[in-house]
Amino acid sequence: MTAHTDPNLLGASAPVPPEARAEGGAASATPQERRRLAAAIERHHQLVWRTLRRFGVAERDVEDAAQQVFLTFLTNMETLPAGKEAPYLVAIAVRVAANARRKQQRAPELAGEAIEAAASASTPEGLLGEKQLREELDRALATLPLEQRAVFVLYELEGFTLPEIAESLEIPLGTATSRLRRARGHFEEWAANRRAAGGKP
Amino acid sequence: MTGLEPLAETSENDLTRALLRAGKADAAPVDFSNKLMLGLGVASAAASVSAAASASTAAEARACSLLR
Repeated sequence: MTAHTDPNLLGASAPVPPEARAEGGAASATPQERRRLAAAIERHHQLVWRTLRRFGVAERDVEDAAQQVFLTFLTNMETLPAGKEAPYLVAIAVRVAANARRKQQRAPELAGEAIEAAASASTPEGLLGEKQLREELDRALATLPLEQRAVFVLYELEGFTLPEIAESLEIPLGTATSRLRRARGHFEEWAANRRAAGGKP
Repeated sequence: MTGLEPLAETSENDLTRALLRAGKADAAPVDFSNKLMLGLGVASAAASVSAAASASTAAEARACSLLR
């Protein structure tokens, strides 16, 4: 597999999903590794799921993508200090999502989802439900450049601090801060325009 | 310290607040972690992690009751 590296998003040493190991699952792992992997899944599966979804992975593909995330975690856990699991998993999930999005761009089901979402957002009533709100949120996030979206999602939705985000994305703190400020401005502008066009929560 | 309070609480736009709150409340399907465990072949390890956690909790409870 050739890993995609986006230098604008993650540092060059950020983890790469090992698809080659995916077929074997955790079969070759030691009992201790398997227990740590199981504990990480138990504790962080929601975080990984939300991160994959907010970074554009279709619901039907989330399980496969999450498996890749945790397999990458398994491969690198030996060098990962205890307590650093969450930001590390997020960094992997962002990268896995980037790969998944490229595959989805050609998938007809996704086009159907997008059309349905656009239709539901065409009236204010379409924004009332939680599902519609999340679809609207994903549309708003999709307008952000990827590097801004990463910081915005982690800060505004997942509650990470800027130092944690800078560490997990391997970018300077000042870069993380400026990306967040730009993303917030962009998001607020999008929401204001949407609100003016008749959208309501 | 960034001085940037979360928009979900502080934005003046109710749509911004609603969107972000919906995103924060989003949750995986109930069986998602089980499917991952099974898919990755660590379901038995998960059981031992849970058993260890339960044993630890029970031991703590016993210790607390003895101290009372």
